[in-house]
Amino acid sequence: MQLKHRFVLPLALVLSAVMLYPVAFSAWISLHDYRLTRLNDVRWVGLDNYTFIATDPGFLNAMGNTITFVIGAVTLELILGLGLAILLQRLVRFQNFIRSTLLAPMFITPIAVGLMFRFLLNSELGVISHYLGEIGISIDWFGPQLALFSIILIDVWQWTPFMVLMFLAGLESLPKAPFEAARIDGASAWLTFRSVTLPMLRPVITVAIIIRALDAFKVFEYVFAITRGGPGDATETIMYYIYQAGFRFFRMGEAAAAAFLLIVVILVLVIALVKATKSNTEAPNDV
Amino acid sequence: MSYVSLKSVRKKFGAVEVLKGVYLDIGRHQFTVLLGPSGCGKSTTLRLVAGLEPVSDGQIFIDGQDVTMLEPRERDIAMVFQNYALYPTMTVEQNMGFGLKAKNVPASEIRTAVHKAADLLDITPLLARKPGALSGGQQQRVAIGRAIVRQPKLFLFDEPLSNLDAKLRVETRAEILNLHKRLNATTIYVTHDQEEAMTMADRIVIMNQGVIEQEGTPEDVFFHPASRMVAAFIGSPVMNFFDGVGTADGNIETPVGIFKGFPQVKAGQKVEIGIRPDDLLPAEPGDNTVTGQVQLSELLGVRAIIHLQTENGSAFKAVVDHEIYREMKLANDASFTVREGRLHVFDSQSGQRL
Repeated sequence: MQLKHRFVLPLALVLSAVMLYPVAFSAWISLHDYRLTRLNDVRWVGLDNYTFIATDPGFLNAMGNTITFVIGAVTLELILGLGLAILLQRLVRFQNFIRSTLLAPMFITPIAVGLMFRFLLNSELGVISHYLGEIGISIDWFGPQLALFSIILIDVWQWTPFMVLMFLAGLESLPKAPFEAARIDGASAWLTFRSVTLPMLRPVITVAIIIRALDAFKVFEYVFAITRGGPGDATETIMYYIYQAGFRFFRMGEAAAAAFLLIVVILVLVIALVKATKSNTEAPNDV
Repeated sequence: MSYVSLKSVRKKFGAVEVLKGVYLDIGRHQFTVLLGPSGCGKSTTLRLVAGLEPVSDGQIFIDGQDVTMLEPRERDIAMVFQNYALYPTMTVEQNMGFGLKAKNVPASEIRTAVHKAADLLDITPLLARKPGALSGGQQQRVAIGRAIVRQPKLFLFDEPLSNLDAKLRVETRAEILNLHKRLNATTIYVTHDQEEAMTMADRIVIMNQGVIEQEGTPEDVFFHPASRMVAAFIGSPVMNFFDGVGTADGNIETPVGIFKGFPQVKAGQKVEIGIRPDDLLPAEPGDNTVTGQVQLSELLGVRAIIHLQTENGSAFKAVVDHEIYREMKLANDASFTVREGRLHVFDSQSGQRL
């Protein structure tokens, strides 16, 4: 073995142990009827788990909920994040103070955020519900209609600062000259934003969307801490579905198959977004 | 009557005063060059005229209108930046038409105007490309195209040739000048390159430390520099300077010899005399001559630059013809007289011409 290969060996071993082996093992599980309660009776079932999952109304509902959640949360975070970043960039005073304050939600662990909002929004005990009630507004935040939306709002509260941070860094790295040229050319603020800022910021926006979307697909803690997938299955997300199948009902084969289907969905999304980024990087930013 | 006018314009950045009261009048259809060393305030002056920076004090007029408080877009100007400042995500055609689009001009009219300007600049084949796919010279032509499409009252150029190589610089220089004449434009052009200034300008404005040192035609500033700073800044190789003192009979005594016939210099007044290397002519030693030992000679072609050192150690240069260069030997002494009327005298303290 050559010296250069020996240097790579430790990392290769570690990666195999913590990534390759679990992935391969769960792929193996997904092709078997593998139940934690019947480990002495593991049977090869081929693609049965996949066909079952792909046609299971529970899985399709969870996938629908997750996609609604991802689109809703990431869109709101994108719009709010971009708006706040632009406002913050123009702020002359207290910029650093507001910047650090805005980042605070990101440092709280999501399960704690879930619990916090569970109490804040509780229809009988919650502070927010109480004050809304005082002005005559009564909202059942975790009722069948609003529960998924409320979870989206919680995600927006926690992760918009991440978007702000990304966009602020992006905005500050843009060359100043094209903006001066736009002022001379007589472009209004809106035209400048639409034709100059936004296209130049597009690579940053795409990366931010990919990172946030990947993360949002894994939403679990809020659901676990607040609604447990309910009411009914209104907030059951893919991760919660997998958790239930694997660790509540002990049907590991189905859970593994669901996880692999999620990977396929995410891969398709990532490839589409990366392609979108590439077609936009034709024009180098070397002005 | 002046077309652009700056009245007592001041600009401060924090505690630093960059412009200390600039008065400037620029005539219609003139090509005015703001020239000066780095940090003299020339680019700031241009940015104030453009409206990219607010003035701290004073007024700016364009075509009789007080534009001091107006936004850039209300001033009807176009500007070409040193780093081109093209919109990186737009095609050349969109870049050039953006100013008209901002004015809500119909798309067909924008197209016509852009193609006309592109024809003029020979960049029609580039219209569909993005700036990243263009060379520096092409990008600068696009930037110039973007400026002329709008047909503004005033063209502003902020060191537009600095990022181009020497050959392209000379070509683009001629092109800008041609455009200026064809469009009958009024142009303010900022540069730190004296050659650019001398070759392009109708009028040169030389700035130093936030004030205007001298304003005039290229001949004015070259042959009659108003101060030691202007004399040292314009001309290549740089003017030779020698310290001197005025005597009672109207002469100047310097360590390199006596120079006669300067009644404007008072007895005992400390002065500096300045002589351009091109104005030194080989001569026999005597009054009004400088003598030095040849240290080094650089042949440029038909002419050569001779580096000399006087007895007391002051260095100076002379530009001589090829035949004289061949006669000059290293370590030999050579004497030069000054071409009639080309000896400049400056007050040592104020630096002003006497």
